[in-house]
Amino acid sequence: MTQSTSLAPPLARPRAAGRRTVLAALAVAIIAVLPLVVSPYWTTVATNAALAFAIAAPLNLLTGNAGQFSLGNAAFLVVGAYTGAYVTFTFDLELPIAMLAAAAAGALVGLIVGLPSLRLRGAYLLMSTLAAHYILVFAALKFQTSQFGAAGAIFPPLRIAGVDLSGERSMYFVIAVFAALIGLIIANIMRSGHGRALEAVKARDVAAAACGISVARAKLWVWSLTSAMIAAAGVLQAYYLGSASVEYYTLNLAITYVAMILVGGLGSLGGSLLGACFVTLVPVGVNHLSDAYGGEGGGILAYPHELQTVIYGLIIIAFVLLKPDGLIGLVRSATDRVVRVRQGR
Amino acid sequence: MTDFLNALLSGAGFGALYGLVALGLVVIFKSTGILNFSGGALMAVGGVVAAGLGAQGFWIAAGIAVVAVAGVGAVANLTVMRPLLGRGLFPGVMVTIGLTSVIEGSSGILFGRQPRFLADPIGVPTFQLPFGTSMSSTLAVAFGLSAAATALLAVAFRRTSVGLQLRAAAVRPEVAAMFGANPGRIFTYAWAVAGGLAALAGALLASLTVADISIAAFALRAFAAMIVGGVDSLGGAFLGGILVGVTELLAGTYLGDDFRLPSTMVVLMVFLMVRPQGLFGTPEVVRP
Amino acid sequence: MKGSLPGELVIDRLGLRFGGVVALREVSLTHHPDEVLGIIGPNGAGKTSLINAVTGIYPPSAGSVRYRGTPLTGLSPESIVATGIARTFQHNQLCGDLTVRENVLLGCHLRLGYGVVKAALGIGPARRAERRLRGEVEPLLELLNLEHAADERAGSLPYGLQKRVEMARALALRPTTLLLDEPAAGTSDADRAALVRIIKHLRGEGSCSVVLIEHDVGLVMEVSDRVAVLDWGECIVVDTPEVIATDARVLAAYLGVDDTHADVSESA
Repeated sequence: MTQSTSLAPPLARPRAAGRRTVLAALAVAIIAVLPLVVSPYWTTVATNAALAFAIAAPLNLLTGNAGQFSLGNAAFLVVGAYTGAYVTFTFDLELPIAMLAAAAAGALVGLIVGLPSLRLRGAYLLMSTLAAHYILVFAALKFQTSQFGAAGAIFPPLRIAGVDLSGERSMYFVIAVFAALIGLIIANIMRSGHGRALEAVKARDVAAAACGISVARAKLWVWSLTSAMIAAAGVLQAYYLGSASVEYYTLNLAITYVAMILVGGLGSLGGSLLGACFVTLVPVGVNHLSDAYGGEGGGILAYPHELQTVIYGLIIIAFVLLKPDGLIGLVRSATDRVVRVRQGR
Repeated sequence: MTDFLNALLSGAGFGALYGLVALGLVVIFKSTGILNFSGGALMAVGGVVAAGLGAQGFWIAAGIAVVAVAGVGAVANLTVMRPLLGRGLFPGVMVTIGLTSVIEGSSGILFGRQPRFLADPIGVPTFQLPFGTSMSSTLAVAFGLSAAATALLAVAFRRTSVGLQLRAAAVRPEVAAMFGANPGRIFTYAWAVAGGLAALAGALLASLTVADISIAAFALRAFAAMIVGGVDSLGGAFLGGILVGVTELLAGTYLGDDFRLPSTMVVLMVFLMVRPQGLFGTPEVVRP
Repeated sequence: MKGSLPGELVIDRLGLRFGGVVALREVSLTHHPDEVLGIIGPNGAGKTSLINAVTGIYPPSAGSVRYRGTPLTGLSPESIVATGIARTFQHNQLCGDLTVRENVLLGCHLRLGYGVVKAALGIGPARRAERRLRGEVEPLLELLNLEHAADERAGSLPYGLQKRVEMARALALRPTTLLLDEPAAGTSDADRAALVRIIKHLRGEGSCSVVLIEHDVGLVMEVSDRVAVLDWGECIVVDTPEVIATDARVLAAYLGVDDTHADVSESA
């Protein structure tokens, strides 16, 4: 109960099923048409955002819905990437199989990393995920050295069933489809009784038990499932980046995804999407500014990296202090206003 | 044997540095309940500031850095930390992470990116000790300063009215306020103390290695020190730091340098699983 | 659980201590099928501790609890719930961010009938089960006059309504025994009247027996078949309301005449 309501914007509100279908159709349409209408540069940005969503959404289910504040997501990514690399290189398997293997490894590791949550809470649990991050990344480093060499795992261009999918546009579609699948699964869970149970585990674990919910089992499945999803995303990410090396999987990377769910809105799938897009766009925006006005004598714009770091920090602080329900909170209050105006109130 | 003793000595020295940062974490956690992720950034910026003033010699440079970063801590509390009181773990952690970003980025913009160096605190670079062992003089100074700071703080917590108010505010802010304590001001003291301690560690680390904002990562061990010692124990932070530092150096000596950080994380994990209240902390009594 | 008879709860020499603090000392009580058993006692007498020990939140340090012949001691809270014992909490334990209906649906968790995988795939069985459960909670919302608030955030409701949501959630478990922990504390006269009506309804319907822990002695006397009095962690008397009302020991407990146990501190 120490991690009470602060971690807790509302679950999906009851909405008309019709509106949901419309929204889903709209989303599919946008995803499908996007790369055809925007430049390759923006296709890359969209790919990055979709990938970020596929990682942020499971994290949000774990942290936002189930109240398990974790910094372990970068470690799950590397577990996935290296499991994927290992089975791909060793058995020459297709991407979907590699992702399934990565998900299985992620589920197992997630279960283990989630075990402390049965005994620890709050700051202590967070510390255990921090320790798990470094221990797993270290294990990955040893695995990398023994299996792939110092440079890490180099992934071949993506092919599925003999079809070359390594182009920017096909990569975008592969990642978008995966992200949509993750989104669908999480939406289904959040709408189900098991999603409700997670909210109870987060807010009131005593009451959850009084409803016959096994708090321990709920925590373990959500750790396991979300880690499996993140690990599977790790394979795609590594394919997309072309390689996987432990230097990439830092604590800062893990924090980036936490920042996404914070900025977007905790416990909300739409929030994960908005947060993923927003945080992906911050460096893009700063780089544009810097390119346009930076250069010689450009003041602080001559330090785009530092500026980015400062802005990123300010965004996190601003959202916690001023908009704790995130961007999705803005969207909700806006739609509420529209509805009220339409009803003539 | 010499290796072993050297690892113990250096470990204790490095551990004392982690202890300094952990001490700051404990002071903040004890009084405000916030788990501070910006200890590393405060430490690193302290090192950078001290190294920037390197021409003044170690002690003056370190002194100014301590005061400056204490100011940064106080300002941080007054601006962004205070509104978070009572809002739970997540907001506090995220704001201190944001603060880390702001401090690290600003440091680059204000002081540039180039690494700097800082002179040793005392003229002799290393002390030659019996059995062929030796210890860096900076680490010896670090050990002494860390022990002194811990003792001083422990006394201050117990004897002074500010210390009493800090303890009261930690347990029951509303009750403390009723008895005339001003929690707002007290939390500012806590942050200033944490900033100063981190800056001192940063200056020492800068003279040991190099002053660069990236030394912030060193302070991760402070979390391990904090948990090992017990999140609410000042002496625990110091001893926890020593234990973590010695573990790290032993792992580095016998297993290889890449085992250093992971070994501290293993210690952290083991304590969380076996004795989450740490060596000297108060066990959390959970009652609904 | 539906259709089965309301149960018999046997508490035998139950003891509970926190460090040096004794919360319960050799409490023995039998809750007969079909009856409303009231438990009263001054602040810190151990009333809530008794419920917490029975429902497995605190493992008792001595004695045993049996429910319809099944030993409960050592079972986890969720396994105890599965035997048919539901409870409410003295301090509301609702999920403030869920709606009232969702909170009541939480009480149906044991009857979800689908696992996480089916939930994740969003396939037929999960959807049908959700529809069925939503149908099942409607009568409960009606019984407790909560229909109009069903889609409100539970956290936004006034205290008295929240207490009713708690009771609806407990009843959604379809318990054979319901433990109510101070359901009237801090509520209005109207809420109190509704509470009396509901307890009498449950009593009359015979689907569920009730243990009522309450500070409001008048309320307990009004609805209980028997009343137990706790004082300083001990059960000092169990009898019908009429007898209790005239018992000198009860009076002494409430007026604090006997002060010899002053070293035992409160623990409710």
